[in-house]
Amino acid sequence: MSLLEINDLHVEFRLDAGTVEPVNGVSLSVEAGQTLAVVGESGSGKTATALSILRLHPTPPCHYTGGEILAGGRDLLKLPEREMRRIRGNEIAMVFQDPMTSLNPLKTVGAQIAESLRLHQGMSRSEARAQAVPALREVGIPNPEQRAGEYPHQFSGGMRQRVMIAIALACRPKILIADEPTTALDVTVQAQIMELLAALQERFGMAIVLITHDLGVVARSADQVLVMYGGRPVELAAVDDLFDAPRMPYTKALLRSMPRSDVPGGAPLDPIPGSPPNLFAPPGGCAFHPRCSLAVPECATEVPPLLERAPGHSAACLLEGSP
Amino acid sequence: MAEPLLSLRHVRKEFSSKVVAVDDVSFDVHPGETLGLVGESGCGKTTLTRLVLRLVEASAGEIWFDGRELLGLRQKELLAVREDMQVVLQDPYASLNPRMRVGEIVAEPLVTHGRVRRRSAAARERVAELLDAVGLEAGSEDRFPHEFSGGQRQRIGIARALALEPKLVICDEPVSALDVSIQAQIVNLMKRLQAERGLTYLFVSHDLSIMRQIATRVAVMNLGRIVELAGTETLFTAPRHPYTHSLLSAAPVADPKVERTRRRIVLKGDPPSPADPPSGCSFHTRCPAARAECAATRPQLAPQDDSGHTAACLFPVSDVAALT
Ligand SMILES: Nc1ncnc2c1ncn2[C@@H]1O[C@H](COP(=O)(O)OP(=O)(O)OP(=O)(O)O)[C@@H](O)[C@H]1O
Ligand SMILES: Nc1ncnc2c1ncn2[C@@H]1O[C@H](COP(=O)(O)OP(=O)(O)OP(=O)(O)O)[C@@H](O)[C@H]1O
Ligand code: SF4
Ligand code: SF4
Ligand SMILES: [Mg+2]
Ligand SMILES: [Mg+2]
Repeated sequence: MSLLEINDLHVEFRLDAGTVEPVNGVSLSVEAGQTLAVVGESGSGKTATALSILRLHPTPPCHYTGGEILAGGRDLLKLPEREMRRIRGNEIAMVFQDPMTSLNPLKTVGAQIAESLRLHQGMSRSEARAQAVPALREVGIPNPEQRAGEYPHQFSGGMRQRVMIAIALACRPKILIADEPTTALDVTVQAQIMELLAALQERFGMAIVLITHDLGVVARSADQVLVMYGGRPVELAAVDDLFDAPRMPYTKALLRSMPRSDVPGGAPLDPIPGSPPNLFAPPGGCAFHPRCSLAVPECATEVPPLLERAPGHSAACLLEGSP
Repeated sequence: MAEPLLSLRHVRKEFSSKVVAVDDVSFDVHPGETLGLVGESGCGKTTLTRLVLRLVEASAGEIWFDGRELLGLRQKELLAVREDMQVVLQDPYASLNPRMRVGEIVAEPLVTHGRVRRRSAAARERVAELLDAVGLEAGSEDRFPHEFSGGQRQRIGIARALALEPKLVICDEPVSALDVSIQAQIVNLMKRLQAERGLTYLFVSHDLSIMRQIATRVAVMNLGRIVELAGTETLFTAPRHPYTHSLLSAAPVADPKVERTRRRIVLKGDPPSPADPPSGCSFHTRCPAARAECAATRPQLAPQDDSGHTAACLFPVSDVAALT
């Protein structure tokens, strides 16, 4: 059963410079114990999608213009802000790329975990304090008794990310949204954090929405993958299907263009020409058409719908035909 | 073999008595090759490039470039040498003056070094040729940097670096800020320009997949030292240093089947602070193969075969299984 289901979500930012629609018809669902990766290049709408789930965008300039976000039997877009506050950090938690911007530099790490527990779980001060140390131990921080009394700047980047994960998981959320949780980290530390998230997921069974631009990270951690391009979902499949038999030309081109560390060098790489779309002036029709080697004239005018083309495998491309 | 274009001998840089950013580094870069420098954040890659450019002064050692020792040169002599040594940086946004037109940006080094006069016909001609060489359309010279995408801005940076026809181009993470689909464009461009113009690259990246596609040889750095150096294919398929094994094993590969089946080394603990480096082998606090000696003895780079493959480890490892 899906813990989180998004149907045809539309989000707009109405800015002085114009209106952008960074989330344009996104649908996805995640089940308990499973990881859905949302992958795409810079500006494709990954973070905008992630923040929408918890309604964290400031309104205005943000407007949720359509669709639904179903979790725990209700539509989060219809809840009053007061109830959303109860869901954030409790039922659905989030981890960001840069732990330094989400941690308070003036408070000890233990106090920040305790604060989150008091706020979300209504624990007493002493109960929450007592929980902080085991929460740090759970995420593999050595000497948790001592480290709980230290400040964020005394932690390395990897250890800070562990603290963020400890805070996010302290209330045992059913859903964890992780936006590029390892992008700022060195590769050996990234491997440690990915291993930690996998172990915690195994133990607590939460659903994870993993936002990343790195197809290597997708291959290592995801069960399902949603590919985004220019604010639109363009392909959704089980991880093996996506890598073995991609259907949307952008996904295919992206996989071909990737330099790989497990393949000898020598041959020229196979880049995608041009650059990703500017959302202030998106191309008409299929947003990929100016770069697509297979484009036909209709691609410039018709938006291809994301439709199921094989069991569990959806793609948005006019060449796949329409029903 | 031809004389190396660039040779470092026992180069050291201390920022304070505690932080030794570059520690006893020696290597050669041969004409026409790409020497890759890979390692994690803070290991000293950028400092090493800045030492070669003499943007920071070395604490000890020698740097030979094209037959001259750089560290002893005076500023005026250095200016002449610097014509042959150009740089491409990570952030194309920060390294281009936003108020200058692209034509002026690319012509700037030519004007500074007295090769052409500003706004002369010769300058315009040379700029047009350079922009064409890096794949920017005619007319780009009249536009400003903000009118270009990240990948195009990196092309502008490369055109500027090539203006003086340098022998050596030092590239510090030139594609790290770019989207995946654009990285391949720039890597291909740099390889083509190297072949056409006989360029030599010192190429810094933390990204192993980029390294494997562009480097002729790769030097792996850890905490200010080179711990392994080998031909690219050797380094990727037959590494000997446990740190190199760990880096390769940690880097995710875009293939779920490979990811599910490969043996992975997950290091214990945190990377040590550069201000408080471990005794002996700087990797011993995290090394899965460490023995008691490793904390006491600092390993030196030693040949692993007769191909020039060297590694600094007391107990080199061939089989990754020994580390998992
Ligand atoms: N608060 C905001 N105000 C205005 N525009 C925004 C805002 N947030 C995002 N955007 C725009 O929405 C688009 C999608 O941005 P988003 O941050 O979701 O991309 P992303 O896929 O997460 O990219 P990255 O990989 O760079 O993090 C971009 O064009 C961005 O400029
Ligand atoms: N100007 C400086 N003053 C003091 N310390 C410095 C200075 N520049 C660099 N360092 C220190 O020297 C070490 C090496 O830094 P350097 O920038 O060369 O690393 P790097 O390998 O390029 O890392 P990254 O991958 O993050 O760019 C670090 O510990 C850094 O903090
Ligand atoms: S719809 Fe047209 S432009 Fe878009 S991916 Fe398919 S073929 Fe290419
Ligand atoms: S010298 Fe010892 S600690 Fe260092 S890499 Fe070799 S085995 Fe590991
Ligand atoms: Mg983002
Ligand atoms: Mg650097």
